[in-house]
Amino acid sequence: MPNPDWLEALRVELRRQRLPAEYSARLMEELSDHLVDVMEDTMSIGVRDVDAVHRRMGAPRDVARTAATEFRRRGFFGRHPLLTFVALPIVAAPVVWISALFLVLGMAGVWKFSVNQGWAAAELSANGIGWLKFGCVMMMVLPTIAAAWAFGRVAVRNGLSWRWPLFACVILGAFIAVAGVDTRWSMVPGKSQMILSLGFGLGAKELFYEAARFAAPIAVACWVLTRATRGEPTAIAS
Amino acid sequence: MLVLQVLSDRAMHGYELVQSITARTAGALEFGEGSIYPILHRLEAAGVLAGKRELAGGRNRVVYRLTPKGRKHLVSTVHSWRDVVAAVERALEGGERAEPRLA
Repeated sequence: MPNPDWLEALRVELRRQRLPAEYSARLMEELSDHLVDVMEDTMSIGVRDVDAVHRRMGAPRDVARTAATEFRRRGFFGRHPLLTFVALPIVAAPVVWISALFLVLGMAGVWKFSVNQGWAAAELSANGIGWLKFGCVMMMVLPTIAAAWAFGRVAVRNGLSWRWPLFACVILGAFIAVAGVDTRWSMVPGKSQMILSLGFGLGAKELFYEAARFAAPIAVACWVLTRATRGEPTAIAS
Repeated sequence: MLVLQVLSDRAMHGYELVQSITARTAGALEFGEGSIYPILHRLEAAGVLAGKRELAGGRNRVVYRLTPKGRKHLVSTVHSWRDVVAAVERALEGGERAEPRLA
């Protein structure tokens, strides 16, 4: 029988290292087999010292740390977290923002928005204008939320610390909080405007929306990370 | 490199591999035996090793074998290692200032 204390201690340490459940389960399965071999080996020479077995296997903390280090070395993102979670969002946030704006402008062009034959506020209901404004904001928020989800998944898949994706999401959140898109609707065709801005609003309403935009990617990353920790490795004692 | 070298002879499961490394190094290298599996898994993910569940020693275990990519990797790693060892050896002997040895 493998020593359940050693395996249980290892299970706790692996969980602490935030390694994916499937990887931890396979590791524990093989280590459980190895532990059986070591115990049979030591008992065959008349030694019944459990500590000697543990010394041969290595401390659970050390094994878990080696597992985490080796697991992170497997992929680019695990080997270069600084580049992935700090440099990439700094570059990606403005690129995503500008891309979203071009998309909005492109769509506006397709709809003949703000050209001579374009729409006027008179042609749109209040609800319609509200939805268009909401759509403009979502053009920025949705790619950021998708990026936050991706950063969370990359961290989970590479067994990385939570601080990396959360830091990336703080950068993303800060950017979309200050980057604003607004629309001004005119009754005269061709005079409606889309306003792009960078900066903080001063009113309570603006600050509330900025705080919500800042928190959105962080909340998404937290959701991805907490969901991933629910799957725990199980000790396989055979 | 040591893992690849041992597995270049024949396929082994983890416990057998550890025993083989201990025997080949005459027990000179001390390491927690449990740490060998994360290394094997990384090498497997890199395509250098292939692991497969097989019946070995009366139990169903993961047996690891070297892939063709692993053999190439082993050759280049051994070559690099020998270069490093030779360079360090030269440095320990005094480098360019060392007296030429008499035959």
